[in-house]
Amino acid sequence: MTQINFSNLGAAATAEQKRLAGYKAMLMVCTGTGCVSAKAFSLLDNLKEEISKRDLDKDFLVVGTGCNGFCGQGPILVVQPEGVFYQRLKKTDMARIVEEHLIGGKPVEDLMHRDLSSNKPIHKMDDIPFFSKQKLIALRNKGLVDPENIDSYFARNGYMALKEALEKGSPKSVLDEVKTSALRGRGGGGFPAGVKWASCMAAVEKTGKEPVVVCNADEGDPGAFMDRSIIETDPHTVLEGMCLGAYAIGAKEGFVYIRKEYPLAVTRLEKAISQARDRGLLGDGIMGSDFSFDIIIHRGAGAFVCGESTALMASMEGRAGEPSPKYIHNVESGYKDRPTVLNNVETWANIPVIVDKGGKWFAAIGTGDVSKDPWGGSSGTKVFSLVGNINNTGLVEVPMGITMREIIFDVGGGIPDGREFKAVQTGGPSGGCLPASLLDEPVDFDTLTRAGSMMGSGGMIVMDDHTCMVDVAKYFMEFLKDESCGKCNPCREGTVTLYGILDRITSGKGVKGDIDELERISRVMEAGSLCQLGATACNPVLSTLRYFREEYDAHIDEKRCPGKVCKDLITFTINDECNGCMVCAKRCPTNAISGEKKAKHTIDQKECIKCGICNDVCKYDAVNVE
Amino acid sequence: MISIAIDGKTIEVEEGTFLLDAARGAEIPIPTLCHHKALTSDGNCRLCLTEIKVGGKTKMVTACNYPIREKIEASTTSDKVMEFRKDLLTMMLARWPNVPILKTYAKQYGATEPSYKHPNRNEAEDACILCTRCTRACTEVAWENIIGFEGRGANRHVTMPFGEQYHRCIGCAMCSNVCPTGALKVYDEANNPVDSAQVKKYGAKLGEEMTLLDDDQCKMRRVGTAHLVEIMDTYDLLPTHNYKFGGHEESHKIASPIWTKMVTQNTPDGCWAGCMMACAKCIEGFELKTGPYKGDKVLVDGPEYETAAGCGSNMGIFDPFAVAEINFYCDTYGIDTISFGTCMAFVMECYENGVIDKDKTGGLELSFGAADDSLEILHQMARGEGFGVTVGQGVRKMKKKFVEEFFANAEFLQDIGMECKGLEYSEYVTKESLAQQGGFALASKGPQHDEAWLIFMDMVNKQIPTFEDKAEALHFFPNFRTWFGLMGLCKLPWNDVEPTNNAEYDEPHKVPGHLEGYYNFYEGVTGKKLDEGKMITMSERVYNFQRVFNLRMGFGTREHDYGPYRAMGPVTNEEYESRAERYDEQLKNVVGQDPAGMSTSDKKAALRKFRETQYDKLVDAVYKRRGWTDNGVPTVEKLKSLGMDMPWLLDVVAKHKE
Amino acid sequence: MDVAKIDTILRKYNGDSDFLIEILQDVQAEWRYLPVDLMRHLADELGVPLARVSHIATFYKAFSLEPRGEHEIQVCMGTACHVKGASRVLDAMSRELGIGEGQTTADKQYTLEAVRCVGACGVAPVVVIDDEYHGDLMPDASAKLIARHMKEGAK
Repeated sequence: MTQINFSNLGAAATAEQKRLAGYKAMLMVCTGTGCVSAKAFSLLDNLKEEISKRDLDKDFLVVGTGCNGFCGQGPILVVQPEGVFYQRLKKTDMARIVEEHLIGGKPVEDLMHRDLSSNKPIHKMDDIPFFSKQKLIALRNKGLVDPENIDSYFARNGYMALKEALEKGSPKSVLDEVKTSALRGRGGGGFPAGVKWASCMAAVEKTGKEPVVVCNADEGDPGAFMDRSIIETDPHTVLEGMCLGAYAIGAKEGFVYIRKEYPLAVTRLEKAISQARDRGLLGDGIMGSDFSFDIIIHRGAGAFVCGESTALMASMEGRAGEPSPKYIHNVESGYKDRPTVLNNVETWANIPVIVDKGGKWFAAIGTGDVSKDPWGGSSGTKVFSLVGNINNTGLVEVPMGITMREIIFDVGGGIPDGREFKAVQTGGPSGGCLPASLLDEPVDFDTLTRAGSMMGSGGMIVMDDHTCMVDVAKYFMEFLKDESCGKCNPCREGTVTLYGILDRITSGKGVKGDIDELERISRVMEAGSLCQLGATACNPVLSTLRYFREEYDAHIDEKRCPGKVCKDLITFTINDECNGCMVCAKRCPTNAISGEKKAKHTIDQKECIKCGICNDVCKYDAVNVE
Repeated sequence: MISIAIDGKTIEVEEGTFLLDAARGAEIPIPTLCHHKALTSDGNCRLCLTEIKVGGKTKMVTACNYPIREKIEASTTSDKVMEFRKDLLTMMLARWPNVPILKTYAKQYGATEPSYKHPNRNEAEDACILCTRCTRACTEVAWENIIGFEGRGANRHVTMPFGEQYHRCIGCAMCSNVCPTGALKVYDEANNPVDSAQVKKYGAKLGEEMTLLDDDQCKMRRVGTAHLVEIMDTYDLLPTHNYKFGGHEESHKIASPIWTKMVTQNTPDGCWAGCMMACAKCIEGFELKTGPYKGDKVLVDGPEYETAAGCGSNMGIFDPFAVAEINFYCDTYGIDTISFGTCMAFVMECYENGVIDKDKTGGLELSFGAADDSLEILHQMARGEGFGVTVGQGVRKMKKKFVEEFFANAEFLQDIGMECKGLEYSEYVTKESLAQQGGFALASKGPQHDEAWLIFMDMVNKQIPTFEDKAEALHFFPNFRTWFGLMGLCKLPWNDVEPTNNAEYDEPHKVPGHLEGYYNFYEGVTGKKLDEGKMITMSERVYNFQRVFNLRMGFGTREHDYGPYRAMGPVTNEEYESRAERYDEQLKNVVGQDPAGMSTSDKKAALRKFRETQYDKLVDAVYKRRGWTDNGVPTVEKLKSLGMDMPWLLDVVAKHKE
Repeated sequence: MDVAKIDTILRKYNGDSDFLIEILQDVQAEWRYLPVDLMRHLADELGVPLARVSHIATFYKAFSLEPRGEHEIQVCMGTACHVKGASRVLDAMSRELGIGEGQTTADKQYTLEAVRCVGACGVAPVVVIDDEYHGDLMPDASAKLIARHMKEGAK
């Protein structure tokens, strides 16, 4: 294995670029988790087989890439370098693409994405609205590199920022760029990375202890999967970012704390670390310099609270992930009481680009004036997972300051099935639900916080008018009561109690005064919880109360669920559209539906368990939910 | 110092002081549930939340663990704080409606039970409120981790691993002692004391004192008895080169910082409820360099102070590894480390004075500091070979042999052979403490430190200046300590940690606060009341019985209560000159003889005469106090007064009537 | 207790107790649960208090003190899945298998779990069966999937 040093990194990149240029086309098959769930791996094998069968291996290179981002349309194949985008592929489509497109030169239009309004096929990926408004920094290599091949990262200028820093720069120069960039932590809190790094260095100076850098890949927010995708797509960008951070603060040790629920990401990360070690990009004397640094992986075992930094440190030390109360920050005393810089995956992924293109370049993207104060605005881009009741589900990276409307309606293509937009949930369980009246607000750290939600790690769950906001609040509280570590009173008792009250409201047993009680408990949790999980746990309740109070009132006063979700408050009936196809009767799990063939069916309300399957399977809109 | 304001009251605190401590110091109350002064703050109950203004910003912090680092203004009773406490307590009442401490606080802050029902509702008065005091006590005080938490969220609960009784639990009861609700109970089923509550109460007090005070007083928990090395060295009491000197420039090599690094085992032994002393220490994974287990990695049980001094400085050995190796082999062979150290120190002084040489030792060079050859002697002793056989017979028999077979100077050997009644001396230099000279030489079984240790009382604290005072001490302490032996109780909890208010008592040297503890403990176990008089009477019976026994065996008279002169003063000129200033001063001011112009030998002789007379007077005073004749024989009246006038005892005594 | 297997796992992590959580994950994967006697052995070997092991074993969702089924069915309860009907999917699966959430079938074949977001929100609702992801799975389809899986397993 050739060891990479200052003088040969460029050559390694060129060699790989040349090798790739030797192919007529590269067939980038998305093997992100979404596409894998749609059998992308077997598709990849099919494609290889079709190419081998025709003896075209020399002309066409098949690459399994990480997440392309357009998860709702998987499995996905992009033919590069021309950029033709194929979606929702089946096994049988592979031969057609090889025959018609690769050999015949005629792209297969009926496998392409279609414009939502005109229904015309769109050839090029970049012309699809989902992609065209995006600006890629953290995701710059998505779909373009082979995550399991370090050379393909070299070909995309990989490790060049590190080389430049080690060869020509200094720890200070790296820190200065990060400071100038005003990059704020992408994990939730939005704390400026440069400030964090600098205080860590000050702590090292003060304590004389060896610092460590940690990458938080314990992506906990439900509805967010950007960290997983970044690692699965482009693991080396995270490693390079961590190397740069370690170089800046003088750390020799780094850790990635990753959820075990992300097995593919763990595998790819392990592979990337081992390749980087083999090539002299991790370990002693990186690239022949006197900078030494290595990275160890710790796998989390399923605890949302480990997103709390002190709980994460406890977990990395092999203990139960309970936060510890302290007024001394991790930058001073974190992992094993050493000064610790903790940033999440997306934050680290931004670092190589910031060091390469300069902090000023990064700071120019986004909102506010960050030239004097990193808290003055939100610089750069942010990756969002755009999911829920939306046409184009997937991962998007957009400049800070873009409006919610642009993301949901332009990039996301709006709400499916002709339904109305009701709310968008951001910030995970610590965030809140924002209503349509805020759609034109810019998306940045401070605006979201002011609106009663937060940026969080970037989950953006779109909800249509068939969503019950009390149910959503109850959903989050159920999650939080299960994930509360139980150490401090406000969170342990607060989450259980809030859940109990929400449960009685959604079961139609709510009483006057419940809302006051919800607010009172929320205040205790906010003011008194030991960690941020507890202190923000009330946000889903408070934000839904703030914007959707009438739904609470409907449940409590009228025993009615406007979103038609809460089982105790709805009934299923069959209307005159029913043509007696019998599908619902067959699928009803309790045999509550009866009726002759070709005659209107009826639902026995005593037997009905309100599972909603009849409504799901009915093709004639014959099921009413009231 | 930082000046802060709490509820408008300005106070000065040291940087890093926790806000709670600052407030309580200023007598401003802040409610707490999880805080305990002997434990690290955990900040989990959140009841101590306090509003502070710092740098123009107002925020809520937990007072128990908020370190004051800058000027702050705190309000412990702002509207926000009061409302928070009320609402928090309301939530807790929903789960634990009947716990007294919660009810008290609830009343104080106006909280009442809310309408919602908690799914884990527990109506018991002694419900566990999850404050974690017990688990912290287990880890921080007992240095264990036996009870802990399982589950998370509302299911979090205190338990031994997997809900089963765990064998490591010794019932030290620190957990139940700190529990604010009584949820955690320790059942003493095996010992069946009459009043376990009283035993526990005593244990709680003892445990708390040790946890809070030991680190500042004796460091017994962290270092064990070996912490004494540097203290003895400082006070010129560390036996060095067969008790010639009281310290050595290299003693830091066998002092507590070294042992702290080597010692790995720090577990309270749980001898009795509440004792957190963890006096037993050991070195794990110690690789042996000699003997039958050479190359093996073993566990060394120790070293204690007596071993470090006896097998270290007294033999001139300042290599901790050699001391540990001797420690291990002494234990393995069943040889006492004090006897071995004192025997070897004697052999070494004889060797350096030409009494013995390589021919006699079988080629071993036994100068002070000869660690390897000393270990060889130890192995020979075990094997019954070579010169080891001679050394193994002890100082008394060696003296006889060296005089008879090697024609050594009998007087010199008598002066430097540190034994009395055939037992080797324990490891303290007693030259400057008349009381301790008596403490050793007057002890029933020989000069062993567990009967009376009076050096500090006598020399440092000057609590027993007169002969009568010393005699009283030599009556009280041997009897008192005999009582410990009778009860099977350890004496370390008596005075190795002292109550902070000890000086306020009439007889602080008796540590009266802790005597009361022993009385309480005795009463808790047996159901019988105890006081100082009863305690001493119990012991006196045994002590006098021992004396009569000694008499019957031919060791119980005055002549056997005299130790070698080295225990009283300088034997050699070298010794005298090493502390010439001290001895000259005594000659001049106490003896009344001007040392100016006198030779060292003359001064030595004058001092000796004085000190030996002093000792005679001490013996007289002690016998008198003990109710013994001038020859050290218990009088018939004494035995009668103790209810010990059995004929078979009186017969023995009668033989010694003058 | 298969000591050789445990020793292999311990060696993988150099017997470093910092990796206790990873070690327990490997044990869970091998035995499908954490046997108590095995945890005692681990505590001794790693020199960590048993209470720490038992806390971890009951704290993290990955661990189970009861044997889990041959096949693990995980219904994602992420927000995206929730708004697309995940709880109805869970109900459907529960009906099909005849067991509640967190339970294992009597024949030890299936364990049904509601899990935290598995990060495949783009294809919600999602069910993971033995590490294989199934996306866009509505309640009716999920019941069919289980029925098919059970039938295939029976063969």
